[in-house]
Amino acid sequence: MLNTIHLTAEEKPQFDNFSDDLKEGWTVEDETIDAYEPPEVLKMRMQMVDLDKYPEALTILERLQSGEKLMDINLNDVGDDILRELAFTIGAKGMNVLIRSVLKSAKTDEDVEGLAGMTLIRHEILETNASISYTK
Amino acid sequence: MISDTAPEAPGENRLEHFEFPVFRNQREFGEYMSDIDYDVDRLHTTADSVGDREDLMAALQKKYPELNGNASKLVEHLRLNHQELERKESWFTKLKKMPGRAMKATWETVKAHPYITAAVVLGITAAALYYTGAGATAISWIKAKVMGSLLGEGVAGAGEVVAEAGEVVAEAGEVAGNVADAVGEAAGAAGETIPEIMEQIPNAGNLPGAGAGAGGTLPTVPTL
Repeated sequence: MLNTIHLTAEEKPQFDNFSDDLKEGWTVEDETIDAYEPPEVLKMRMQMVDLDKYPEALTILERLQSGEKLMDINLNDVGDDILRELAFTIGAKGMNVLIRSVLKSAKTDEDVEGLAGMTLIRHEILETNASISYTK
Repeated sequence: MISDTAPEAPGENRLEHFEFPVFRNQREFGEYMSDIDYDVDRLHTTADSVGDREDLMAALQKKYPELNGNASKLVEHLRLNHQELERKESWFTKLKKMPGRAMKATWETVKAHPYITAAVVLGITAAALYYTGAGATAISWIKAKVMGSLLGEGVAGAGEVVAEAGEVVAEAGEVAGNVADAVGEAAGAAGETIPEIMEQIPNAGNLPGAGAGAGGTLPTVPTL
């Protein structure tokens, strides 16, 4: 069940500023792992990306290549399954970007649920980063 | 397996023709290590064991004489590739234990917010570019898109993206200072990762009128 939000010390004050209605029912846990990816790791992950199962990603690229505007592209035809590959590829660092955006713009219960999902994904990636580290 | 251009090496050790391999799965990686006759399980002891490291370097040098003394760099590259393969495998395992709602709720929120959508579209596009073999071109192209969003079609189209970023920013004299700063950051040499570029997305579309939004002539990227 999704009922916990993992927030860093910097993020917690922003969540605290949410209305009581939005915060109701959520448990906040401290995100204390800081095993964020250095640039060489993110570059490696990009090179490793496997989109065999996600042809819709290539469709998006084609649309941008043909001159379509970034802000005109939505993700309605893309399933959430792509997050499996994308979240790891952009890393906890990339998830931070999304989390910060939601913290600034959340207005609905659905937004907060999405925030919880994002922070859980980040938490799991951070745990993975911390638990497997062979390079200096 | 895909190939990565080798990191630039100074002076006479510079690699001219050898490309560092990048493996997308454990099977390919294992086959490669098997091909050079080196046990993959020993790979990560090379940080602690001088003997293991020297054995691997010798195996690589024997297989690829053109390495010209850069076997050490290739060892580090392979270690990083393998580390990330193991992390990815672990991440996929963790995913199975996560509440199913987490992914769905995350995705619905991504789709509900235009700027978050744009950031994710950028991430997907970067991934697709790398997947199709664009490599480093991807970063420049993505930057062009972000800059197009920030400055409007004309400026992004005229610019040579990263190399001429300074001029582009200068041309944007009439643009609000914070936007120009954001462009400078997006084009800066230091910000070379997709998350850092995604970070610029909330500034996109701040300009009034038709000029807002990504567009313009884009650098050549590999066709699909």
